[in-house]
Amino acid sequence: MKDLEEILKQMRRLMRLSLGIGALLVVVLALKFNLIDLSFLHALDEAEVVQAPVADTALYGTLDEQSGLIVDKGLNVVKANCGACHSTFLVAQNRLTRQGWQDLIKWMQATQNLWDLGEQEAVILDYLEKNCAPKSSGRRKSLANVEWYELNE
Amino acid sequence: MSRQKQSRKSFLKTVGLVSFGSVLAKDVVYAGNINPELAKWMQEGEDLTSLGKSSKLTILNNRPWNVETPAHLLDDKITPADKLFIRNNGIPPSSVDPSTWTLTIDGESVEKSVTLSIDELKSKFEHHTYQLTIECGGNGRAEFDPPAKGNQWTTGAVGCPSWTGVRLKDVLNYAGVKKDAVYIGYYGKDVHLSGDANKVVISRGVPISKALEDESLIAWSMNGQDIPAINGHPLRLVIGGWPASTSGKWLSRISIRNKIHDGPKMEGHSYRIACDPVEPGAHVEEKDMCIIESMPVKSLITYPKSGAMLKPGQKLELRGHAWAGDLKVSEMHVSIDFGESWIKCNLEPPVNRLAWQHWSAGITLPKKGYYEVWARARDENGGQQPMIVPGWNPKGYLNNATHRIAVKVG
Repeated sequence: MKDLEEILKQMRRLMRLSLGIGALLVVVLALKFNLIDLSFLHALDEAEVVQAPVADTALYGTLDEQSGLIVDKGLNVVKANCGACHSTFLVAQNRLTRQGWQDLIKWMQATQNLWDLGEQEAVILDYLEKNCAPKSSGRRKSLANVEWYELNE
Repeated sequence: MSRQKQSRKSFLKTVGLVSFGSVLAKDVVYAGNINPELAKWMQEGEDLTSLGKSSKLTILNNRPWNVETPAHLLDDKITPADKLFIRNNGIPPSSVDPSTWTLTIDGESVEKSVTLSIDELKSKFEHHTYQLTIECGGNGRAEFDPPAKGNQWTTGAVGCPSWTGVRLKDVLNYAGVKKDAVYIGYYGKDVHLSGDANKVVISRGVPISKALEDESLIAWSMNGQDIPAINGHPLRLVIGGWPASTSGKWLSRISIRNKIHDGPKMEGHSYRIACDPVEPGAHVEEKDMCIIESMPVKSLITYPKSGAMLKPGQKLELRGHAWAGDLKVSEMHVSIDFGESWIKCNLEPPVNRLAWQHWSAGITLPKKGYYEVWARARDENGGQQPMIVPGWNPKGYLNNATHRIAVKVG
């Protein structure tokens, strides 16, 4: 049974590989005969990469359940970079100042293999500063979200 | 389907081709050193049930898994496997074979390096079973103001299962501990989140004096069963009363060091507080941070669950646990008037050193209205839990403020 699964897995792998090689060949041939216009690539600078994935502005301010984060400008850049190693739920539960987030990025770059974020760093910091800023809770908050129930005994 | 998969997939859908390029670029950068263990994990769906945990636990983070237990689910005297919190820094090894697993004892201060199989550990050394309290150093972090970074634990990163294994000191002495030994440092087989197979996730330890205590265990069993995979199977350290990060999981190596261990998460701001107290929000230099050792005195109300509504005159039975790091808890009190007056509770002695203690009280609330029950433990040295959040520290450790539940009469 296990062997059969293994063989099927290998076959699927081979098929994917040959499909990939085929696709690559088509692209190479198409490029050779100028069938694909690549001029748009030159116009594509970092800023546009950052700006491209814009969520529907009508949803700004609502919760993106998949990431636990608020929908806003830069969310997808945050998800792509901050959600690559750890889940975005770690981001969503933290509240820091812009300086605090920047220090955290530096710490992750120094010790946790985070890459150079380039121009995306400012986009990420803008997002975090706006949507994940600290709110003072004082020395002790009132108990919140109590679910009331009748205690029978 | 795992959350990881879902998010990656729909992320690509929303972002489209342009960003796909940048994601691909990163994947290529890391493709060279993606650990196969991690790659396998990334393909598999996991949820609380598949991890062997109660679906009622609270997920703080699912990559890596960090999960806490609501107070009322910690009511058992011995914490069952499905209710023990998860605090992971990396990805657990995906395939574990206890028959080939080994533990190496080495370091500057070992007489002779040795490597032992689990069978050898079991046959060469006397077995011991202790109920030991392990609590994450950051348990309670969520209450600090200004907020401290990290998983925002409330009260549930604590548990007290029964652990079986061999004494760490028996194994260290078998290899031989040189006179200049200062510290031990553990290494485990978990994988770094970045996928870098050569990167140590976390490697902490304790001073040699703590390592040589009777209750410091190298354990293979929890509550008479294999330790849950997500909590360290097949082998882990259990260092009761100290930050649980000293109780290394998926244990494969222990170095006997001639200096304070310097593995990842021993240094910088990790598991350290400012040596001298600082004002909230202060920036503290690394050189001014000191390693946390014993955890402070603390307690939980595990019955009833917060939100109980009682009829006038109805008796309220209360119970929970109390613990105090290396110390014993000597007294337990509750207050129903925000600390104006305190009611003494029954307190049981620990089943063994470093096990939590059970307390109980029966009270009647005087009249209709809203009450909070506050629980306060006192340790054998007279230290007791503060009613507000204790001293702020940069990483938000050691919050042992009184636990509170809400109760209504009427």
